[in-house]
Amino acid sequence: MTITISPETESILREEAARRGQEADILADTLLAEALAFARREFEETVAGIERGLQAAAEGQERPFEDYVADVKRRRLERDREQKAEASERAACRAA
Amino acid sequence: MPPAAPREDEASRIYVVRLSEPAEAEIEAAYLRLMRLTSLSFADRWQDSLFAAIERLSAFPTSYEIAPESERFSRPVRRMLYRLGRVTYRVLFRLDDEDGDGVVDTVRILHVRHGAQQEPPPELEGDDGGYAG
Repeated sequence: MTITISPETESILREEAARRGQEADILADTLLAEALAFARREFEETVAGIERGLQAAAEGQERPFEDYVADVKRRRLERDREQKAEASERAACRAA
Repeated sequence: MPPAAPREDEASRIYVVRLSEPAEAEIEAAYLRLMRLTSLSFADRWQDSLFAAIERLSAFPTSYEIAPESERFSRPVRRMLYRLGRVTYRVLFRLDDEDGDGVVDTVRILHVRHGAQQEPPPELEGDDGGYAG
């Protein structure tokens, strides 16, 4: 198999090979194998994630998205209130 | 004879969006990771943008492409690519016929995943969120 790469990529590959003290074609083979293994792993992990979502939905472990958004907004309001209360308390302590 | 797959070719309609518990946990984890790596305000902004992007799914879910991983499933799984600076999150969802009338009416969010499941770089702070379609 012959693979054509752009002049820019070839230049980077040769620089990296020189830095590592390796032949450019051996480095290209190594990097390509790593990239393909990474892509395969990502694919399989994504499939597993989709399966978990489907399983949860089948078991009723889901809710309307708008309910989740409302929960998040409520949590943020509580957080902001607490932060304001703490800031007021600190200001009062400094003033005392 | 197996039941016909629900139709996805309807004219404009509003779909109900439902969020699976694993997807909810994944959004929460991403939020916490961003908060740790950037700032609270940035994480809030990221979450708001993501919410807006997911809400848009209720209008045009079929305009998003079928995910490559869909080949492993009997029904199409679509993906929305949500980009924030140089980091992309993938929202994987399926269209379902919840009331059984043969017409899809529900967007079911199944999985939310970082583009490469790597830690986003801290220099994201200040970038505008957006979605890549």
